[in-house]
Amino acid sequence: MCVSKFKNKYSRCWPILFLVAGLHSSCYVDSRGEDRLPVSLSAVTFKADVLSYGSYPNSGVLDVQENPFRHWTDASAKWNVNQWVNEDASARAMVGFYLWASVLALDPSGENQYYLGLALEGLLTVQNLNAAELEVVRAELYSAYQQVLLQFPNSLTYSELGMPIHLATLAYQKLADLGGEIPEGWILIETENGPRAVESRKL
Amino acid sequence: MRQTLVNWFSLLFIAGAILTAASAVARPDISIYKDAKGFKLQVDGQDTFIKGINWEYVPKGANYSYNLWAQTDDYIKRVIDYEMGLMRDAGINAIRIYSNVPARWIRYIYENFGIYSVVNHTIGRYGFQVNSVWRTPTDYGDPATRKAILEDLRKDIESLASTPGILIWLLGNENNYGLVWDSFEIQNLPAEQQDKARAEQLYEFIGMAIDEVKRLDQTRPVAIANGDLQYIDLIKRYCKNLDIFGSNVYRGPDAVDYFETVGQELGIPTFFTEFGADAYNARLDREDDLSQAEYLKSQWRQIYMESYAHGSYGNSLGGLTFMWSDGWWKHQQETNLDIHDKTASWSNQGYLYDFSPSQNNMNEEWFGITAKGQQQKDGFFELIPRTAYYVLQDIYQKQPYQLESKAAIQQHFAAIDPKRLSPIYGRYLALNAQSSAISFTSHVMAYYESVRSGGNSLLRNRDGWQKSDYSQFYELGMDLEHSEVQASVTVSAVPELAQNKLDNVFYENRVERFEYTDEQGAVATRESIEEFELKRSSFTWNSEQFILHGYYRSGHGHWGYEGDFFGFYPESFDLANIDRYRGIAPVGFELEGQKQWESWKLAFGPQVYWGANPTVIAKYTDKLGPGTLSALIQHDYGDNQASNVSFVLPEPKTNRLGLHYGTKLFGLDLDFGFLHSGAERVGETFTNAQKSSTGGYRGSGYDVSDDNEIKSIDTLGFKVRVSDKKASFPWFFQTGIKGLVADSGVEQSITIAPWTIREAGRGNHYHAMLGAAIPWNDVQIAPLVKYQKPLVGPLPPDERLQGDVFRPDGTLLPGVAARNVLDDAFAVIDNREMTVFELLLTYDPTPSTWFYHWDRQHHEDADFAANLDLIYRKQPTTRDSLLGYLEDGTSFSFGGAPKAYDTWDITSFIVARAAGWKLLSGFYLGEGQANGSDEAIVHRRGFNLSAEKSGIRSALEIKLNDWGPYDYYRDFNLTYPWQAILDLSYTDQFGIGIDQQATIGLRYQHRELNERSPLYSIDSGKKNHEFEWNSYVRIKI
Repeated sequence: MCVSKFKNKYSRCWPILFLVAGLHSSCYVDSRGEDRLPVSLSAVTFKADVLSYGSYPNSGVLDVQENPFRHWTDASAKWNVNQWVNEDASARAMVGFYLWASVLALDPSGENQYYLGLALEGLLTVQNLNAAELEVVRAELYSAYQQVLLQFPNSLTYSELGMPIHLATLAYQKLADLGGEIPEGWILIETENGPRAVESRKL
Repeated sequence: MRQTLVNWFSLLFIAGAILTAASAVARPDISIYKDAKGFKLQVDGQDTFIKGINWEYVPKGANYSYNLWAQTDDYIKRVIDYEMGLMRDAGINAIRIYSNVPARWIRYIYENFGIYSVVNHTIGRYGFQVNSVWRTPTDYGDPATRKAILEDLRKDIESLASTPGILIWLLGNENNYGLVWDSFEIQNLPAEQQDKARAEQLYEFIGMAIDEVKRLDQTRPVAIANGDLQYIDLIKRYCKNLDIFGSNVYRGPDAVDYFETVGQELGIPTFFTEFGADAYNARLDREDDLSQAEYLKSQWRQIYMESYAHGSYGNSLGGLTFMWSDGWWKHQQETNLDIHDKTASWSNQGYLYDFSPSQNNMNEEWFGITAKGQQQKDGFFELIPRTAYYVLQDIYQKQPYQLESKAAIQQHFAAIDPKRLSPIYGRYLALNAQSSAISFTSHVMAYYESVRSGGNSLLRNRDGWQKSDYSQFYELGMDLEHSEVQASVTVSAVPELAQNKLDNVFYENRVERFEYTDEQGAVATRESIEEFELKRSSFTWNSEQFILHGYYRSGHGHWGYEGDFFGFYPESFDLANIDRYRGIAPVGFELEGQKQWESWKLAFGPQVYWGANPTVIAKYTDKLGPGTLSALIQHDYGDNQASNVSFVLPEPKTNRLGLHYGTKLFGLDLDFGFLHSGAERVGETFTNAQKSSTGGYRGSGYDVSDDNEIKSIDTLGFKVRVSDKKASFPWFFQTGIKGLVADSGVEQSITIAPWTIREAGRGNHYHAMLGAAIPWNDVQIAPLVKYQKPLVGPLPPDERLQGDVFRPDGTLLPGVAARNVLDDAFAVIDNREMTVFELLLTYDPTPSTWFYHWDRQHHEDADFAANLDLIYRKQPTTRDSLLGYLEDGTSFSFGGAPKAYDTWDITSFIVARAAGWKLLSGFYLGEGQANGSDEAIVHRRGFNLSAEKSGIRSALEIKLNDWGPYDYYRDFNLTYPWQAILDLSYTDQFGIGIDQQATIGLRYQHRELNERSPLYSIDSGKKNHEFEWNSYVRIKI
């Protein structure tokens, strides 16, 4: 008696429930992307128009399809890759750029910005770049070192012996050596510990 | 020995018998005298004309849920002494009062002021708890409802019957104006017959209730409070044992044929259970105490004229004027409770002094014969008698039975001139107008503490720590009141701050330390403190067309019961955590349309709830067919940069549309919802991993795919709910699906029972929920089961996928890290796959004070009420990553999550009263996982107890193997083997009329540390511990 009463009372609700259940099963279509495969870094080629995505705060390099590091998670292998790049610096310089630009995007720091500068510097040694491409490389190279001064003025790196090294001073010296423009207000002074780049207004 | 015991029990028995007899003697005999001249109410044979008043005590800012009887005895006594003293001075001899009043206060009022109580049980006028579920409107034809009301009525009568001071049992309150319930029987009738059918059911039930009262107490008359004379034929038919016909009568200065009709139809005595006039002239838009007084004089003259030996039927026993003091909560009832609203909400042609055919003239909040004056912080308010008070005082100088003829009554009333009496209140109005077109009140809180801390942990190494230190904090508040605008501002000042407290994240700790590298390469620290800070502010502007509410770190409610089916605008009352973590939220405005705009609501601001993006939310609600349609549109116009705690996740900037349609079908509540959210994420890509039939990526057994694209369908969501709130076992079923980026908030309304488990607000899941509430005596047993599963699951925490791998041959195999809400299009967090079972048991013998009210520690009036909540979560998969925050406020992703694990929790909260003590207690135990990626399962448990009486408060809290007090403890899975706090304090008030309160207290905190605790010292060589002694003084003025 009770069961049939219940059935009568609620029987008109079931179509609604079935409708919703149907929506559940039909409105999502799975598996849309490409399976991930191992990436051969040897196949990476030079591309001038992505170089501007490298320096902080631009993190656009992570959206570049050709960037083999765009799916990096923790960049724990960065020094191994860097060593591999340096084994044949001229041929693998573009890998060096993608490497440090990606590391910088994932973990912004003065050290990573400085290494991006070194990687761009490595691109100057690539054999078959034309004058226009070299011009782009040079511009981004200057920008990378300038950003060390402007964005990470107090950043340090450490020598193998654990001695602190002031990265802005290294970047200043690189700009001076390569003919890049020193950001306004920055000067090099002599201290007890050697030369040091400082902002003149802070003296 | 045995003989001694017998003697002792004999003495006890005799003493008990004497006390019982004395009690019986103290209880007056109340009867109705009847002869050819009419009717008289007699108490112990003495003629007693009811010169009564409707009394309620609700401070400004509170509403119908305020319960005076849940306050401390000292406070209640203070209120009664003040208010009843004023009534006695006016000659009032009876109050109408609801039946939740404790017997001892009826007795106190009677014995100290000679005022009788007309005890009123509303018999479900505003809904009733049936089988542990609150049902409104009350279905008087439902047998279960009838049984529940009669049972409750029986309990009230039995508990009060022996109390002296009760004059009349009064049932209902114009219940005939609430003939709106639906049932199968009613729906089957033609529309024009439905009201009559409901009325038959109502009065049949009232007749049963009258009989029940007569069965329980034959010494007092029983009355009903009908709405005017409606359905008097049914009353005659069904209420044969009714002693007195009571009625709420709003007919203007003259009740016309009222007494004659009652005399002819019922042949029993009558009294007005409500009547009166409001003291606000809607036409002139100003207070009008003189018209109110004139009307009351006229109404009382008729009551006198129709009394024994005077009227045609001599059936008037008196009346209960509506009402004693203004009810500032009456209009809207839930909002603007501290505003004396001037809105006239209904029209009545009987009140000619402000009647106009084109507008309402009855101002619900202005019916008091006294006005509410200054109010103290504890809610105690002063009363300013209006002219009507003095008029009644003159009227009550004589009973009608002392006046020999109608002419004598006319003469008595003619001598009373309201105009002559009006200058008394007029002077108050004039003074008020001069001094407070805008009125300001201010309050100050000063807090001083001396802190001594120590232990053998690394606490001593903390920046700024010293053995003894002290703090002083101040808060200065200012409130502004104007007829249309109310505003409030609180400023915090911290001149001194102890740096050695164990728990050093709190609002006043505004010291921020900045690390920087100096020019020599050395790391240095500098400190900064905000000594003065705007802590909280709000304002409300009431105009005819809208109400604008602005808030800065002040709480606001949600729109969950007004069609916000997807939680776009959640409530924001977690001010304790907002203060603790110094969140700048909520900040914004809420605009509520009035009159022709009342379908509209708008909320906008930089952070309208904690974690919100700068946003605008618009809501439109209107009737559509048999139901109600609500549409909400949300547009984020910026990104929130302010979130700094892990439990307030930042939301991606978005636009949303939410639709809700609510209707009824065959007695069931049906709710349909549609959601469109996250359209700006269409085209973004995400990484996915699925079980592989081959070896999978990096031999993990998972195929990993990249560049999966968010599509339009991922922005859609649907939800449907069916509920039967009137069933013997109320139940609901809900199901829904939300696309990958169709995020919303968590729905805020409560369905059937206040379960902890809710539907996840986040997109990317489908779910089904089934819950019910099963009554068993005063216990509600509420089981709930929920299943939910993400459409795209979390990225697997397989070790073979962790970290980026680089092979010497130049091959790169990037790792697969858990997604997070900052860097990915979506993440699996609270929408992870789970099956949840919850069993919520609630014992609450006084359902009128809801156990789950946010303020239940003050609100709950049961001698014992408690709940027990058991939750089991079956979680077969893990989730994606949550966010953590560093000390400098920067966020990061943990990059992983603990493994799949089933967890359980048991919590309980208890409110009790014993020997004048108010006891609050609770306990919990369960298993929990870290918010971060640490795998350790925490088996935690804890207990707390606080006891309060006469200003003395002691509180104890113990936690075993639990996380510490702040979010980062759970983020990083930092626990203490045990933590304990003991707090003893004494609070005293000074003076009457000036709000001052001082608390002195002593607090001791202790905790033990192990290797999972922060500041654990591995070098101590023994168990680490930390302690803090804190003596404090808090002064509120």
